[in-house]
Amino acid sequence: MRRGGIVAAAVAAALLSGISVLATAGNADEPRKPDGSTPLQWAVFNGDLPEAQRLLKEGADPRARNNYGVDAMQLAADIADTNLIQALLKAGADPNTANPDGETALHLVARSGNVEAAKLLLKAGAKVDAREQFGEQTPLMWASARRQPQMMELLISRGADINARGAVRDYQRVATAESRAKSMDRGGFTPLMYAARENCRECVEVLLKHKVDVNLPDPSRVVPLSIAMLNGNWDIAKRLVEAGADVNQWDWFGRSPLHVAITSMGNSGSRSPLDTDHPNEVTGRDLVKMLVERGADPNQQLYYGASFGASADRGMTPFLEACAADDIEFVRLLLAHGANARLATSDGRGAIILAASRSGGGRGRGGFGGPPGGGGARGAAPPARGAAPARGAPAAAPPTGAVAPRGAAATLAGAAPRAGGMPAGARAARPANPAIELVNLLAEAGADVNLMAKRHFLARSRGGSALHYVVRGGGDPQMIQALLDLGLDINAKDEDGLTALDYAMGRGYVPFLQMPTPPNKALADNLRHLGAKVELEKTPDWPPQGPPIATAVYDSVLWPVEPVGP
Amino acid sequence: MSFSRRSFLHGGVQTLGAASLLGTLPALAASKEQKGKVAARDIQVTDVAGLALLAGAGCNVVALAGPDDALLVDGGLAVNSAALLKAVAGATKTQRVNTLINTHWHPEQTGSNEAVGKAGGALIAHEVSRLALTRAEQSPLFEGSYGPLPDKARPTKTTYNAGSLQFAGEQVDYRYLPGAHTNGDLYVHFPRRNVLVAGGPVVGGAWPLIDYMNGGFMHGFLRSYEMMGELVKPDTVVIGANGPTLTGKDIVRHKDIYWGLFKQFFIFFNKGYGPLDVVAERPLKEYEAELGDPAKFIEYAYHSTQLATIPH
Repeated sequence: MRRGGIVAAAVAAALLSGISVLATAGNADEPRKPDGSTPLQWAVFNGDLPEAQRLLKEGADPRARNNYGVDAMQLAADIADTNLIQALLKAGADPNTANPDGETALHLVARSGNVEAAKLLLKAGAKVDAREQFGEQTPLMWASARRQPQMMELLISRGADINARGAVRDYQRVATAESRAKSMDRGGFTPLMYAARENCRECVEVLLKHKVDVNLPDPSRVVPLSIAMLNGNWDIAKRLVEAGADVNQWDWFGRSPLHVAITSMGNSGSRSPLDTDHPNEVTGRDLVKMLVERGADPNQQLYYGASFGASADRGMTPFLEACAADDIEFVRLLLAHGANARLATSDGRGAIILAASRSGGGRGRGGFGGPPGGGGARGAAPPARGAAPARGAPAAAPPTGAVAPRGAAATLAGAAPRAGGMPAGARAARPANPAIELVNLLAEAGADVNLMAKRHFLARSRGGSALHYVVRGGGDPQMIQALLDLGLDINAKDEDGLTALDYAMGRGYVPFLQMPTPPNKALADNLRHLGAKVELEKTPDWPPQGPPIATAVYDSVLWPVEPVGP
Repeated sequence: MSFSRRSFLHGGVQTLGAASLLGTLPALAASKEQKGKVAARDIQVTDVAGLALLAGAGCNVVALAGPDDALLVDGGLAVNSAALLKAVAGATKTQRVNTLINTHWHPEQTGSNEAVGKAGGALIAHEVSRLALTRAEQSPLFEGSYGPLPDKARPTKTTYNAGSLQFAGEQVDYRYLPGAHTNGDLYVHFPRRNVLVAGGPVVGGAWPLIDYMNGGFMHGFLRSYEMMGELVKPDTVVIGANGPTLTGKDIVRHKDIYWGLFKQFFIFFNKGYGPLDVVAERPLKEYEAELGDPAKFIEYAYHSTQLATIPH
């Protein structure tokens, strides 16, 4: 019911006709106003029970509609006035008349929460599961979306379909006037989804009491549990899990509740004034633990980019999400529950790349051309005096100011690294830097330190090893040292044929309409000091543009699909 | 669950047509669980390079005979499991299935899992397929939902990528086809016999379908044809999920057809087309006489491309 629109139209019509809105008193047989409204409708609209009763007594037709198809009952229902509804019903109003959108008086009353008014309508024969025409929603859905648990209890007790689903819109065309394709709301919500979205804990309890299907998903197979978590409604999410929600039900995007929980942890929940005094008792972190303990799979891989977060990449697992967030507590938790540290996204970003690049690259994208702040402006801290050289590194005096992680020298002294693994010495020397601690933990768990990611045009990443990502992200010297300690090949080349040193020298790919990144001499000197020997003689002549979209598409680099896993 | 559109098209049409001629519609009159049921005698057995190819139980099933037991690739619909295993026993002269490999988790492929699992046979699948079988799943390719399967029917050995096994002195390789038909497809290769069991992405004499609700998407589908194209020789026998066998040459040719379609998809994208708009354009009309009506294939393939490339 577009009450505002109808009222505005009515007001406008009244003003146009020179009649005061308030001066609505009249006779039952008085001519209609320009919008077709009757004196009875105005009396009802104003909540004027005595006037409405007087007009009805004079013979006013309670079923008369104005030019917008609205009758007096709908106006009474919109303000949920029990006395007016009773008077109209007594005078012969139809409890099931609907406006042109199919909205009945019960829809409107359900939204208001006036249980007594709803009882009157139901007693008079109102259809409990009437569907409005726009979204095919029932009064129960409206009650849930407006947080009316008592109303829901009444409607359910009168036979409302607890698992009813709104209209599912199968939009064929997704290009809009915005001139680019985009996904559009597909509808299909159930009362539980509305309650989960709107943070109505009492509504959820009513639905659970009446055995609602907690796993009934939306048209994209997003379950109510995920909807609650996407909105930061952690108490409801907990309750749904307790009620038996499937903790592994993935949606069309391959996204499981654990994905949602980890990526939504920072969502503190509803900011509605209704919730000001009723904050969540549990947190997103609590939910992650709860899901894991109930068997959520930490290895479920995303199929497609999903609707949230920047990490929505094919192959992303909940575990990799935790790595990308540098959340060592959850990484440990997920490893203890079967997380596979060797899995990677479809473009080859594994756990170590994601964890290491967090320090400078942000979610493992790693950027394009070179380290930010080339020339040392925002780049790596210069190497500390006295830092121990890496294996095979020249014994020349290190560049002034080089910084090495605590224990790095001891680690390097005699530890023979194993490919993709962690030298024994490194395990003994725990770094203070939590990101490095995480990287070491991942290596211990079997993550491949030498994994090479592929270019990903959509992600605007040139791929490479964890070192490439770290260097492009600024070149945190402690992280560089830690990766080398783990056996990373400092001279490995990415798909562009560039080493990390090349990126430090600003030779990386230059995106369209961007300036080349200037060299970061300090970072480059540190890498050379640590053993980097392979570099191009000069910056490649990068084409002025990236590959045409057709090439990107046809080569399928637009959406890498290669399996990367054990 | 009920049989899928594909099994209906490729396995049920003839039966249904014959039944109609007789004035009865057993498939429609039968209970939901009995849809698509066949007897062992209705399962056609063909020798393919020494392998038994069994058709009619819901999908193409391949059996390799060992001295004491058999290796099976896919297991037909559950309603046909008993008949299928009987036919397998007859074809392989064995009484037990040692190993069953599911090319993916759809009901046409996993209907014998329970029988084989209960008898102690090993069940091999992609990890995604195992996960799918642990709960009720839906798909545009079948009505209602499927699963969860009992514990004994769930894969006992899974892979994310590839694996090999020796059976009756013969090497059998399987490998993940990423995002091809579902997100848990495996092909099974018998290198000694030059036979590739391709599973869901391939259908003989008709168009395959992409389960866009379960991780299958056009990019992966194309990649699967590239991967298979790199594996096969021109004379390799390729067994799809349904229909007659193809050759390696066919796979390479089909790959080109699908690539051509994929390129057109992006033109349609720029026109703002939806799936049914693309279907109406009939971009595969030159192949319709050979492979039938491609409407559903195009619709699902385009839908999957929308899902994979449009921000959500």
